[in-house]
Amino acid sequence: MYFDLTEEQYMLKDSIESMLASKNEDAQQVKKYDDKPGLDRDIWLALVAVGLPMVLPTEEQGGLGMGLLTLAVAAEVQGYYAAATPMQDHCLVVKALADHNAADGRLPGLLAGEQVAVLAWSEGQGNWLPSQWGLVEHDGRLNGVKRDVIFAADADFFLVGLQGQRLAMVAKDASGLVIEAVESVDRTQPISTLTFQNTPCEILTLAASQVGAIFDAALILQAAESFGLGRHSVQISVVYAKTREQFGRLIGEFQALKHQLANMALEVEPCQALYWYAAHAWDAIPEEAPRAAVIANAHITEIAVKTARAAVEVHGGIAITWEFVLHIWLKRAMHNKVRFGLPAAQRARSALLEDW
Amino acid sequence: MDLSYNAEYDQYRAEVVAFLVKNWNLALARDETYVASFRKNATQAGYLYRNFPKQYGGAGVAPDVLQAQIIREEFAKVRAPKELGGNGTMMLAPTLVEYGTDQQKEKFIAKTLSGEYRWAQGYSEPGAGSDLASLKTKAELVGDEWVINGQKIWTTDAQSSNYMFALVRTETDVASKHAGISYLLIDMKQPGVTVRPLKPLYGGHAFCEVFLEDVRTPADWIVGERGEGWAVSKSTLKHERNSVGAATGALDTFNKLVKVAKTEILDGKPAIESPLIREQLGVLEGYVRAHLYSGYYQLTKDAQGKSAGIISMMNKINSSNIGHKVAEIATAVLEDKSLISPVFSPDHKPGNERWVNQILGSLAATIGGGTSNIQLNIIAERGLELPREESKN
Repeated sequence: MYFDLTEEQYMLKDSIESMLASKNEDAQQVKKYDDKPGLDRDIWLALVAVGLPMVLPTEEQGGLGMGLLTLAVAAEVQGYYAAATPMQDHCLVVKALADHNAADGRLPGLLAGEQVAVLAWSEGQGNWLPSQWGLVEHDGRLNGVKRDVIFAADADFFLVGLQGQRLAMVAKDASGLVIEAVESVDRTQPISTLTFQNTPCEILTLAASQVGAIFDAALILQAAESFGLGRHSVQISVVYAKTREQFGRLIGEFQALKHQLANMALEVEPCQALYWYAAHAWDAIPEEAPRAAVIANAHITEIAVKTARAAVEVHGGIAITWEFVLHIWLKRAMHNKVRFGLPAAQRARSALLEDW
Repeated sequence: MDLSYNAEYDQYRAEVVAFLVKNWNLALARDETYVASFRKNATQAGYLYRNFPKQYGGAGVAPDVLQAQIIREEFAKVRAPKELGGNGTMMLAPTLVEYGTDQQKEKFIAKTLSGEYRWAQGYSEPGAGSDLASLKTKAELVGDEWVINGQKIWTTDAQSSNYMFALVRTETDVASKHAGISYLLIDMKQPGVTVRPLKPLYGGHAFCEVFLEDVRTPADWIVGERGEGWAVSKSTLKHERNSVGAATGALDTFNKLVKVAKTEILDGKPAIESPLIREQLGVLEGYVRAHLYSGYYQLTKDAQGKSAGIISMMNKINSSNIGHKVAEIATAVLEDKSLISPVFSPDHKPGNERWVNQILGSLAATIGGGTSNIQLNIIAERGLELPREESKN
C-alpha cells in the first residue's frame, strides 16, 4: 500500500516547479497576460524538453509509458503557475493518435512538440460529452461548428469530436476551416470558434472505450490543474494575511480571516488525493476510471473557483484590479470549471454510471 | 502509486484470515464469555492490543502501520471484535504505558484491557470546555492523599466506571494555567463522588456530570510529575494511528444513505430518482472520497514514519462536515419520517427513522473532542502558520 508519488514523480514535479517559478513570477505573468495572450513559447519549449508529450504513449507506441498520474502531476504544477500552453490537450491528441496508429506520420513532430495539437469538442449548449457530440462527418468531410477551442491560432492539428462518439484529425490548413478568435475571459487559454465548410478530416480508428478513455483523461488532467490553481489561491492569500496590516496588526491575526483561510485550505488539500486516485484508476483500475474522473473533475474544478473567489475577498480592493495577478487564476479556474462540462452536469452523468 | 500490498503483507493478511476462520464465529457475537476469550486469543496472536507490553496483557509486537491496517480490514469483513472501545483502552492505558510508574502499570493496564476496569475521562468542566486549561477542580496533597474538590462534565459512561483519570489543578504559583495541572487517577466508587447522568438531545444517557466533594486518592496515583498533567494528557502514543478508519466509516455511511434513498419513496418515486437528491449525493461523494483517499496518503506517510503535513490536521473537521451534509440529505430523503423519534427496544427495531440519531448526533460529533472552530484555529495557526492569538488568562 503506497498511496504517494514515486521519487521520480516528485523529481519531475520539482523540476517543472523550478522552471515555471522562474518564468512566471507575478510581474512577468501580468505583463505576458496583457501583451501576448496565447501560447507561451518559452514555457512550451521547456515543457516539451521535460518530455511531457512522450509520457502517455506506451513504449511500443514510441513513448515512455509513464502513465496518466505522472502527466497529472505535471498538470498540477502548470495549474499552480497558470502556464499558458495547451500541453494537456496536446498530450491527449498524441495519445489518441498513437492508439490509432503508432506509425502515424504526424506523431514524431507532435511528440517533439514541434507541432501543436488541441481538442475541439464543445458545440455550445453544454454539449461537451462524447455522447453529445453532434458534428456530422459525411464522405470524410465536416460541416458545422466547434466552439471554445483553446490555442486554436497556435495549433497545427485539431482532434475533433464527431457524432457517434468518434474522433477525427483536422489540419489547421484544411480547406474550408475558418478560425475565429473569441475575446476570452481566460487569457491563459484563449478560445476560438472553428467553422467547418466541407472540411476534410481523418477519422481515427478507435474503439468507443478508447475515445471514452481520452475524455476521462481530459477530465483528470483538468482536475489536477485545478488543484494547482486552488493551492495557489490559498498560498498567496496566506502570504497576504501575513503581510497586510490594518487596525494596527496583521490581518492574519483576526480570527475571521484565519477561519476563512483555514476553510479554503480545508476544501483544497483533500483534492490532491482525489485526483491522484482518479489518475491511478485510469492507469491501473480501468473499470473505476470513468466514475473517478467525473468525481474528481466535478469536485475540484468547483473548489478551485470557490477558492479563487475567496482569495479575492481576502485581498480586498487590490484583487479587483486587472494589474494584480489574482484574476489570472480566478479566470483560469472559471474556464476549467466550464470546460468539459459543469460539475452538476458531470455528476448527473456519474450517477447514471453507478446505476443510482 | 500502488494500492496493493506486497507479498510479505499479502502473506500476513492470509494469516489473519486463517486465524479468523479458525477462531471467530459471528453467530456467537452476543456471548460475552466467547467474545472475551476471542479477544484473548487475538491478543496472543498479535492482532489486538498490539503495542501494549505482554506483561500488561498486550501483544507486545513492534508497531507496523500496514499490519494494523490489514487487521482492521479483515476483522471488519467478518465483524470480529477489535479492542474494547472507551476511555480506558483508548486513552488511559496508552498514557500509563508512556508516563505511568511500574506500580500504576501493574495495577491498572491488564484489567483495563480486559474490560474489568472501566474508566471515565474527567477533563471538561462547566467553565472549561474549549479552554480546558482553565479548569478549576482542585486537588490538595494532605498527608499521603490528594483531596479533590470540583466538578466535571460531559463525562461519558461515568455511571458505570470504576475509575476516573482526571486533570486537576494542583499548583497555584506557576507561570501559566497549563503548568498548574496534574493528572490523577481516582476511584469512582467512594462517597463524595456523585454522578448525575445527562440526557443528550438524541435520547439515552451518553454522558454525565460528576461532582467531587472531598474525594480522596493516594498520593502516588498521580501520572507524571506535579504540574505535568497537560503534557501527560496530550500523549497520543499512536504508533499505529488509524488513518483511514473514520473516512472508511464515512464511505460506509454514504453507501447506506444511497441505499435508503433507493427505498424511500418521494412523490411516487424512489428518492434516488430525484435530480435534487442525486445532485446532493454526488456533491457529498466528492467530499467523502477526497477524505478517504487523503486517509490512504496519511496511512502511507505513517508507514514511512513521515508527517503527512497539514492534511492530518483536517481529519476531524472533514469528518464532521461530512456528517452535516449526511444529516441534510438524510432529512431530504426521509422527509416526514425524520419527525419520528427512533425507539430501540428488545421487541422493536426502528425503521429508517433511526437516521434521526445521525441527524442529531452529527452535532455532537462537531463539538466533542475539539469543536470545529477550534479545528479551524489549529489549521490556521499550526498548519498555515498564521499569527497565534494570545490567551488573556
